[in-house]
Amino acid sequence: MASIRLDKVSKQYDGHDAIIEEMDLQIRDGELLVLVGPSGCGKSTLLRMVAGLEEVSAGEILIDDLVVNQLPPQKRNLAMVFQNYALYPHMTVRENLAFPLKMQRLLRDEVNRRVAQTAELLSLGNLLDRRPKQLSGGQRQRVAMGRAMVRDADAFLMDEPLSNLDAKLRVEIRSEIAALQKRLGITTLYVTHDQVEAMTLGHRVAVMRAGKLQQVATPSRLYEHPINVFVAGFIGNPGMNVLRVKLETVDKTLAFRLGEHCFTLTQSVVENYPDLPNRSGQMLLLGIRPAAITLVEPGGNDSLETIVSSAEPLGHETILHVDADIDVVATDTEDPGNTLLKRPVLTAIIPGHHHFKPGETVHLQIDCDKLHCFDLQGTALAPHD
Amino acid sequence: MRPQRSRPGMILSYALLSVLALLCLAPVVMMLTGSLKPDERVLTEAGTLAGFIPDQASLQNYADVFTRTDFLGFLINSLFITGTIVICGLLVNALAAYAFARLHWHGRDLLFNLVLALMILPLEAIAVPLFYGVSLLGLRDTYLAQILPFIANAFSIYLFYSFFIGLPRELEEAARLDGASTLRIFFSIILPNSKPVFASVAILSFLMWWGAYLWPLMVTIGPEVRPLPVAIAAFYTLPPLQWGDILAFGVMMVAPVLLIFILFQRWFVRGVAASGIKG
Repeated sequence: MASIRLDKVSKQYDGHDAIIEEMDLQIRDGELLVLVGPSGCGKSTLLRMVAGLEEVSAGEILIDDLVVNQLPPQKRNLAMVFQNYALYPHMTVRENLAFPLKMQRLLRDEVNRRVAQTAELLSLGNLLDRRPKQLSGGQRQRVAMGRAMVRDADAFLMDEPLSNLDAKLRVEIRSEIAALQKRLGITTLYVTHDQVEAMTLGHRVAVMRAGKLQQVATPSRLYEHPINVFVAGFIGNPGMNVLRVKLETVDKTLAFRLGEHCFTLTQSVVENYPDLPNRSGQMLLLGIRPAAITLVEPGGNDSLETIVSSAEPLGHETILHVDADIDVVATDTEDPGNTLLKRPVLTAIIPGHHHFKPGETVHLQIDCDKLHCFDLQGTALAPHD
Repeated sequence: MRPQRSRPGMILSYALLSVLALLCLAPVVMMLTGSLKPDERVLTEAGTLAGFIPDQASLQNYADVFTRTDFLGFLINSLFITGTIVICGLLVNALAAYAFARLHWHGRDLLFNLVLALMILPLEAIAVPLFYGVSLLGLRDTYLAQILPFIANAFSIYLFYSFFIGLPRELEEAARLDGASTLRIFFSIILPNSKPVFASVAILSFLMWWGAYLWPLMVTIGPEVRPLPVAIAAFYTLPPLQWGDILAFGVMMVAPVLLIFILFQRWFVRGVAASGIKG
């Protein structure tokens, strides 16, 4: 096992802007760290730099405190699982598994022993004589995992290994990967664009955006204390609603207006954000998780009248999108405070199976105890240590 | 949906295609039937319908070829020269193409463009300086003179390059991470997954060099290292002029090409399609 450290790592192709800028990241010994971000944010490039498949433009990559920038991939002792599996099509499953061992010039008996051991661990025993094209997507995925596991690599690198599988299989293999990683205790850097994968698999999750690291934290901390509106909008399904509001002091308590209604901030929110009283009279961004919005009967004091835009009944819950006369900001821009959505849509998760009709009026209540506060640049107000 | 052609249109196109096919086939059939006839009938019946009918067929002309000339020696020469060019060419050109397609080195793109530019140079344009070079090296009248200049071939490199560039890069990257060297990757991963292009290049080069005439004529002096195309030209001038024997020689010279074409027709078509050349 090993730890991997990135020290101010940058990647830039000649004549182009930097893809990755001065990235610092540590993957601890035995940890499964998930690198997540939207397509094109540079996460796969970063993984490939760790693997040695891409050159590092600046900074250092260290494996167990040894700088490996100049080491070719075959000398880094890392195993990688590719998005499209990259199984050798002309070899059987057995030969695919044995290939890395043969490269290590192990004796035939040892090769056979390890192949058998890995095949048993991954339930590949009856597939050993098949070729990759005779396997299903899930089986191919397992063989790719097996090829990584069969040798004693210092760490696993996984580049979106589940993205070619259907939704059901993805859930299955996801839990298998988690179990295997726990059992083997091997340091793993896992790249995905799927935040559900990130949240369910990662011991810690690193969120990337446009070549820059946004936040590295445990899944629960990311969810509960996003460092900025980008992380808030990216983590969680659906992502956080972020509204632009004016903070006011009404009857000595802090409050904000949405449409005609005034919502007062609870004591716990004020305690969580000690800087808030100084911001009275200023504009700020408020984050509301869809689960913190509830459906109420009309006539309540703190309820917001909205029009149903669309609804997605999922059985155990219904995702509700409503139009409201409020300022909703885009979470994936550099200047969220000044980037309002043209059509302000608020998203709520309503427990149970509901059939809402588009155009129908519904009343929603916001749980003011679970608000997240950001400045107009999108940075979280409270110190997040 | 394909538009339906009218019946007279269909008949006309089939008739036209049949005439074209006959024009192409006629010389080959005449060669075959002529090779089976007594010598005096070959010319008198040529151009008539009887020229295509092999009545009273005999293999005498074939036997004559073997007694009047060292046909077997020429055949072995041709097989050796063409076979060596093909086999060595596969290795050299595939390795070169792999270096152009996948490895990073200074001057790669410039050199590749120069190699591509070589494709437009016909042999006739460089035959004299090449002859001078071969003579300087003292290689005239050897197998080597007929093999060495043609192992590396720009067109073969281009065919291999086009194929390699389309192979998934992840296969090589996976092998690299598995601990394989560049050469090992080439032989263990690239080569087994490139059978179609190897077959296409092999067939195309075989066809190209089996019929080569000008260069072997320039560099060979005696019959010892002479290949079939030069040998048949010499046989033609060997008195007495026997048309039946010449046609029998021609049939035996064409037979290996036809055999290869029939056996590997699928690969040949694929190769021609891949190269974008027209027959």
